[in-house]
Amino acid sequence: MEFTPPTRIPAARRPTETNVSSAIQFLFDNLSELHRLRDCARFLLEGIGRAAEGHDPDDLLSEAVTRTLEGTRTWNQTSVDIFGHLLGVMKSISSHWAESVSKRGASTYTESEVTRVLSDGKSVNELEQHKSSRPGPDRVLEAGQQLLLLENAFKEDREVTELIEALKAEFTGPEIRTLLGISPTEYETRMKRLRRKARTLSEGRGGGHD
Amino acid sequence: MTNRSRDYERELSVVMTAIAESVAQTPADVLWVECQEDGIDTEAIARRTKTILAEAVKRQSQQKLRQARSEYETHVAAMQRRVYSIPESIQKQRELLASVFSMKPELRGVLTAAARDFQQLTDNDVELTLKQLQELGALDDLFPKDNHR
Repeated sequence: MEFTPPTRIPAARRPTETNVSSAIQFLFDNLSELHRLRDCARFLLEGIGRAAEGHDPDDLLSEAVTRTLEGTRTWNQTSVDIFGHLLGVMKSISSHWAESVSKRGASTYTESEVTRVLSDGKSVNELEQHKSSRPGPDRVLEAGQQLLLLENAFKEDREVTELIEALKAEFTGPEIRTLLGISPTEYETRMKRLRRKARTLSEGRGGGHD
Repeated sequence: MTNRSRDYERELSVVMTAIAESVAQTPADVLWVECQEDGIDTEAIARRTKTILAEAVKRQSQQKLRQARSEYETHVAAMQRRVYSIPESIQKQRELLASVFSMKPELRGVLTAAARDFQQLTDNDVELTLKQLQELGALDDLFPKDNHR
């Protein structure tokens, strides 16, 4: 699934505070739209696992709204509606959270654990030498468990299993439909089964709400 | 044989992001029913979300007010500091204003047409004009920096 970030817009066409506020008020007046946005936030947080660090979907959505109102994330009204804009901001924020936690993970080791003494007697901090954004083993393990749980839920469902494999290979929706030779309706049917089960598993883990 | 280890974090991320995209592409009312059928109290969740977002919007507008107030207070404080740069005696103020207009005749535009007869300016007018000129920064090169408090 591809996401095209908004392009830079001229100052004359930047959203005014009034129409940003109006757009957000529209969301407030439509519970089903709010719910839909929040559901998106849920799955974006599921996607970063423990890197969410206790943030819940409302936190993610709230952060996206705040950054839009304060102007740090500009809404390109000509190319996307407020829903699409907030979805993009949430993707960016959750991705940043995941990255931040990955980088911070390196500092949890003691210096003696990561220091190597060379043949000439000099000490080298291995983490400083080979900085990596790779996550710690516990996060990888949990991500694996989460994914395997989802895959196992569909081990008797070949159609959704195929879908999951294609998604993991980072094919887009149209590419998957071509690859699997299925119609848009069939694709949506499979995706609906996948997200309902993913949502149920998330609820079971206590994710999605307090 | 290749032993290809899985990148679980990446795989989880792409799958969940794809699911989020599918949610975004599903009509809101359809998704509402779908979640209710799965036993989710959509109304309660949406109302809670609304409350939380309303608080975020309120915090943001309060932050803007605080910022505007802070900028105003800084500006007032700066104005007050600048006032002290004007000589205290009205005679010296008049001399100062006269020399300013002599050196910078273009600044006479600060005065209204009625006030351009320098001799007719009241003491208050003189003081006010000097303050306005300071605000415009027109007197900065006439005062050393350490004259400001």
